[in-house]
Amino acid sequence: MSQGSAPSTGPSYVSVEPNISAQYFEAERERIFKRVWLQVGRAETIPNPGDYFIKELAVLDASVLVIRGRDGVLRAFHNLCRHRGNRLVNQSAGSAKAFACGFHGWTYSSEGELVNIPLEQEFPGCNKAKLGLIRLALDVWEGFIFVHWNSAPEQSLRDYLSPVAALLDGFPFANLELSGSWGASLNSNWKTFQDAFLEAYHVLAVHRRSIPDFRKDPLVTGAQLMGKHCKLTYYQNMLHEPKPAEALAFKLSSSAFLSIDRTNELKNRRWPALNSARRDNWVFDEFVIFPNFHLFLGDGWMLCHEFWPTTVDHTDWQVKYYQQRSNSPAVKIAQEYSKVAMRDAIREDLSTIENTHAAQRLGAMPFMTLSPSLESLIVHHHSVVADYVGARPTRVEA
Amino acid sequence: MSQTEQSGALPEAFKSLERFVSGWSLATEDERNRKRRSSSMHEIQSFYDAMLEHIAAIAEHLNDFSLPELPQRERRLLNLAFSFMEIAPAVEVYFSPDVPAAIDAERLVILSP
Repeated sequence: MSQGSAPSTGPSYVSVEPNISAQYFEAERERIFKRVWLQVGRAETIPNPGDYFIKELAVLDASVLVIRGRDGVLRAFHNLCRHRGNRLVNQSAGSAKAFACGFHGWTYSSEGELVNIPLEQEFPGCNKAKLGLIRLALDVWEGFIFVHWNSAPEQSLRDYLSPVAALLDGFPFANLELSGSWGASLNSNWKTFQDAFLEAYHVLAVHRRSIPDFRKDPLVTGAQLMGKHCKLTYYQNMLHEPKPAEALAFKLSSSAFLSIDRTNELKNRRWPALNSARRDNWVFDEFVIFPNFHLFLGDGWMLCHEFWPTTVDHTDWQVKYYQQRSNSPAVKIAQEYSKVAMRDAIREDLSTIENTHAAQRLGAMPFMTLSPSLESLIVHHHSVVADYVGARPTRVEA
Repeated sequence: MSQTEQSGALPEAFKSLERFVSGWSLATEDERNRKRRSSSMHEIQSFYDAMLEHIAAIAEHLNDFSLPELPQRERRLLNLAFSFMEIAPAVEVYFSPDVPAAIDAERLVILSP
């Protein structure tokens, strides 16, 4: 697939079968989630040797332990003891000098080496060097930690993320800090969940209260395919008149949710991937990293969505909102406005998802009718999934 | 009303807001959101009106300090300002304490500090 404008040929009737078929989901687990790089967190959350976090990846039936070693290197392991397979670490995050299994006390270093077997003499000839924790591949791009089921993936993370990585290299992610963190477990297929965040068309209805004058023209949506990844651009109504709290937030901080690029910092072409159309009313770009990571970048903020399937009918979703790092209380007050506005809008986004999935499960509606312009990225995402799964095209004849 | 006045709880210039401290000076986003959702529009509007008058001055006062070194009274004031931002959408946007037509609030887990 080549990079270019979204296709707009013909209406798009996309089958709902891939969203409700248990068999299809099994194929997704094997052919997508075990074969691609998966984003699992930020490197700055474990800055010191021995710092770790656990990522539960139900889609792989795996618990993954990410540790920063004494050498400063990040590594990912299956969270299991090589003795008989007991779960090694239970605390979701922390810091440890060594990791001892609670079953018989086999102990591992922060680099994953087996360093102690209690009563080792009772294991004659046991070679500890061959019994380190089992690795998954791990690589980091701009502070984002990715893991791969295969310990020696065919494709490097850099190649996998092409062309997105090169577009955002050097982006000052370090200037951002965690501001909001929310999660939900919904009875929905993971793709249906993501679909709610793959178009801006819904803003007119879903956000009619929270963002009533978001855009004058609903047809103005920037959608760009980037290989298996893609990008969606959102624009603001320049005539938007902020309410008092919002106005204060804009005054106290140069950046706030739904603010336009007031500082022109992003427009100055250091990151040409952002606001690539150079419009005055640009608000943010959403990069959709296949298969389940959506990265929203605005002026002084970022939003990271992770959509983790557990079954064909269920998804655990986490989102983290980052804002400009600051010790100024006034800026924090402004940022609180942005955080609350973002959270409330996201709760509106989540209102349709379980209904949609339940309706698709009914079987009464065999396909979705999608706009080839406004909803092109939904078509794209389902097509890429089908490519990986090796399924017939998901477009159907109405 | 269970809001009791805590004398000296806030910096002198914001003494008139002390009646809101026990109810609205809350340390976490989750607490502030629960307070918003369990309050009546009347309570929210009273808090909003009182805060709106002072919020710019609050920001100016607090900016004499750096976040990690905020004294207790200023910390309470900051948490009041955060609560103002929490309830502002209820007054300015939704005209209702909670977000209408949204997923149930209890289904969104707030993990933020």
